[in-house]
Amino acid sequence: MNPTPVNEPLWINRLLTAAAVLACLAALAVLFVGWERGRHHHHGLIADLTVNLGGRPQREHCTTCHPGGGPAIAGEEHARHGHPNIVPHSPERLGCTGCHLGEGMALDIQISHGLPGLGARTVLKGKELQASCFRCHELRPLPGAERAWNGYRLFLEKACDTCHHVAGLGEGGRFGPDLSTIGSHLGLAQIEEAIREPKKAPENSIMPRFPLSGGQVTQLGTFLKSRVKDPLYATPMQVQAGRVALPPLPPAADAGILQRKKCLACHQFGEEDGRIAPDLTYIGAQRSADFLVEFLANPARLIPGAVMPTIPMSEEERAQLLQLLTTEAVGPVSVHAAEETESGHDGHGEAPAPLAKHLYMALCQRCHAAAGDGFGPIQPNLAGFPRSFKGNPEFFRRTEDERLAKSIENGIPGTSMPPYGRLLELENRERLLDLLFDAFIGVPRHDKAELPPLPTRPTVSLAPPKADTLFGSLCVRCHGVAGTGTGPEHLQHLPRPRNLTNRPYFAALSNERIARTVADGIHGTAMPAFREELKSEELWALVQKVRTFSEGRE
Amino acid sequence: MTDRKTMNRREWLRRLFLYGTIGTTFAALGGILIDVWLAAGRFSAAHWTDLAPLDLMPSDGAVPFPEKKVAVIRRGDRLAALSLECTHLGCLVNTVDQGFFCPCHGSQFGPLGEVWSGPASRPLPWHAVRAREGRLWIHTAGKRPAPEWLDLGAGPGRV
Amino acid sequence: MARAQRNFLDHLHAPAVSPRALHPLTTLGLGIAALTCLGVLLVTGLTLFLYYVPEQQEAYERILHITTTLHFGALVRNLHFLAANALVILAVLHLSRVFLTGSYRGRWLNWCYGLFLLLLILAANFTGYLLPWDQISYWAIKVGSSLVGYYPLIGPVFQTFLLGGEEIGPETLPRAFALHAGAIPLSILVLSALHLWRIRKDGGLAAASEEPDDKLPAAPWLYRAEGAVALLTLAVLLVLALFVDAPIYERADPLHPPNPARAPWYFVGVQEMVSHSAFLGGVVAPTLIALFLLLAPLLDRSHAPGGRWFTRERGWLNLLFLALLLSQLACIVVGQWLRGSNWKFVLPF
Repeated sequence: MNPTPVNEPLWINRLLTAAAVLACLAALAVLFVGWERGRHHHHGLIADLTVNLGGRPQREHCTTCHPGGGPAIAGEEHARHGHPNIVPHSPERLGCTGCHLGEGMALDIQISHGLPGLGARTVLKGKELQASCFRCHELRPLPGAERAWNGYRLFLEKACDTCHHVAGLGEGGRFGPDLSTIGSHLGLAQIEEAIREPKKAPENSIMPRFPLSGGQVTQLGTFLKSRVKDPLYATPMQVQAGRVALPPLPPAADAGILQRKKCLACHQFGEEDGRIAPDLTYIGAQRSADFLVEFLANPARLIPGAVMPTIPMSEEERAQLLQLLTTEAVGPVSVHAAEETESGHDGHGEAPAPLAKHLYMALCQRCHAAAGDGFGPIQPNLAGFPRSFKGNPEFFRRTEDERLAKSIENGIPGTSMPPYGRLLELENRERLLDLLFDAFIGVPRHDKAELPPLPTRPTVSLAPPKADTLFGSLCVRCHGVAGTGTGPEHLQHLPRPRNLTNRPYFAALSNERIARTVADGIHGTAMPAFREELKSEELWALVQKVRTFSEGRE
Repeated sequence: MTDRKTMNRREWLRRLFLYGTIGTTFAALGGILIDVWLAAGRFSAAHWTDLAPLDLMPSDGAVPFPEKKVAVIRRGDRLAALSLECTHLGCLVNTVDQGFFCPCHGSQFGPLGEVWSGPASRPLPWHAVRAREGRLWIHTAGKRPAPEWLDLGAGPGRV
Repeated sequence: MARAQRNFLDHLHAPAVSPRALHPLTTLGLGIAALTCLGVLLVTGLTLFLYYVPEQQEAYERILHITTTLHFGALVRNLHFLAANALVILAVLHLSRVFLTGSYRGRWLNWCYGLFLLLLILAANFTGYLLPWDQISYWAIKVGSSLVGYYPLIGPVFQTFLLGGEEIGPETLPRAFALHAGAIPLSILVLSALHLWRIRKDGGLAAASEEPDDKLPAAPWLYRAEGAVALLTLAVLLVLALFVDAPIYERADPLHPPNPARAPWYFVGVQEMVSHSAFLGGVVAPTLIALFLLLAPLLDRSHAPGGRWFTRERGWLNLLFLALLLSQLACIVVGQWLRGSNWKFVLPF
């Protein structure tokens, strides 16, 4: 054994010393900083309040920084004000978080006022507090809670309850998310955002953006924030007995059927306009009575993808509505201004434009837009994108004139395009078509392209599994696995990919037309031409596959 | 210790018996422990729960019960219970006319829970159902991929 | 010159060590750093244990109380959070060091102990993640447990064990707490003791062989080196605890997930892989990686003794290991920072 150690690693000594010093400094720093941070405001005392809200104990530290319920103090200040007078309520007995929300068990300003995110516990201040009134009070007109009460009135007036169910509203729609406890999940700002920008999340939301003022949105938001998971105004007994109901707001005595069923919250009729849904002023002359009956029973069966829910109504109401629509909602189209300028027209030439223009603005622009590009005012709420006339000449060059004329005369089944055959005479329809070509489409009406012939249909068809594979590789990304037009890429395209399960639409289509679409695509849409990629039997097998979606069971 | 080579048969049998009994003891105890460790599902969440009276079900449609997170699907004379928990991240899906729609991230499901679109990749699963005393009961756990149809033809009083 | 073995510490260490073993670049002190983190976790964990209640309504409020009201509470929680994440990172670095120097040569049992320790560390992190019961915790565990459920056969069983049922419910929190504060720390302690003892039994650090018989006494040199690393680690953790706060988000809402919902960072790589292919990414890839790590020492046919970095003979193995490590890191980076709502690829700027 070596008597003297060789190459003693003295650097270890130095390292140890340095490490010890660093650790010591770190520990002392932490002790100092931690001690400082522990010095809270208000004389270093932490207030601890436990209140009993309707049998539920609630512990909170709010009065640590807000002594007496007044504005926040810092450091060693003394409280200057107490809580504003809220007689007959008593802040000492109610505590803070019952009305103001927030996180009572935190002492950090950011956490106690509610962390960012969904905002369910974000602290309510000022007039926002009215959202809390109806957590304890039954919903009725309450002085001091006008904002929330008006929100409820708006909720009913604007027909929100036709799609959204809120506990206590009886039938209430089940089309959209249930809002019975939305106040427990989202903050006021988030609720208002969801009303103002419905298509922000999720992106494929079908909720329309209702024309509401900022104040109206705030009122609705305040009402909805009061819908919570455990409201305090109903005893378990009342819930059991089914006696918890929101007060109905009966319409005015002289209200017509359209007002009573709140159709005008979305639709237009004459001068009144909800600005969300199509114009019903002439619907009796556009759609048959049978269509109307069937449509009212289940809108999505006749126009798949329609955003209108089934409106619950009694037999009597249904009869009244149909009576109104079939007798009063008929033509002729009122184009007063045009009739005055028209003088002895002979069917051709002489100023067809003013009448056609007025017809277009009265009947077409709501969907197809005054600019003719399809972005009409109600376009976002329609199941299908209205055909764009502008900037789409190739489409019209490849479509036979007869088909265009028929589209206007008979409508397009399975879509919101109604028949105009009964409402407009042939010459007016022709004038409209001329107008479309002159004003929007940009190519002469008779200028039609020569379409290349379709590959002949083979006698032996491709095996279905092969067709399925083809569909999967070529079509699913837009049209979706179930052919509903909701493939992974569908939100990137406008017009959206066609819903292949649209039974009425495809019932009116010939196989040749489907084959033409697959082979040559559709101009003005994202549908590409697959002619080069497909053999003849593959093409026709795909046509068959497309048919199966709309002919499937039910 | 007795060497393996020199051990006689009796010694070997004795050892076998000893290891066998001790091994079985611990296997049994281990089995008990593992059952207890895995039993939480049976303990709290998995049970038969009463849903609604049988005669209230409309024909051909879906009736949602959001508190129980199921929808009862009826096709003619048959009933089944579809889970309303979105297979993406567990949000409660809405029942709409054409099927089901998840408000959280936009997943769409068809009338029998098949995936039509959206971030969800698996179809909605089904619950076991049974009829008892004229009422419909569902089992809250043990969701399965295929529906278990309940025949109403046998009469609502069927147990 | 080595003194007589007098106490527990002396029994844990060989009486003499080679100078090379003491050199910082040999082991980078990673093992001791990890051990220090473990110590910090135990102490802070036992402290937090005094104030936490694993019940759905109470847990969140308890964390708020600890973080904002309790004196030094935020500090203790920050230390716990930092040491937990540091432990995962240090354990993986330690594993890399052992692999890349081939120090597992002839020590397969200890290597397995180490792998199992890594598994326990990840399990501890995962169960601990859930305890605050806030939005990020709840949904991270929801995603994480579905990842586990992908695995055929044993996946669903494991998921049921973890969640206490089929979904996250009132059983999950007490169960996670029991595992996190009871079963797993106990197992980690036992395995760490075995791990350390095994080093001694296998003849000390692997860097010792083929060196001239030039040894230094372990006391005081090895003890001082270890002490230095431990103190440095402690200092770093303490200083970080002053600046980095353990995160807290809003209360968990089982009906409203954030978009996207992310697994904890050490599992987000698996989530990223699964987003490409549920089977390949969630089952095949993790299994292959696990098998590779488990069997590498047995498949290692090189004759170089352990303890040297990047020997040429082990070149392919090292390359493979580095490729795996970097690919997993890449998955973690993508999953954590480059994925937005609905897991779409987004750039963070």
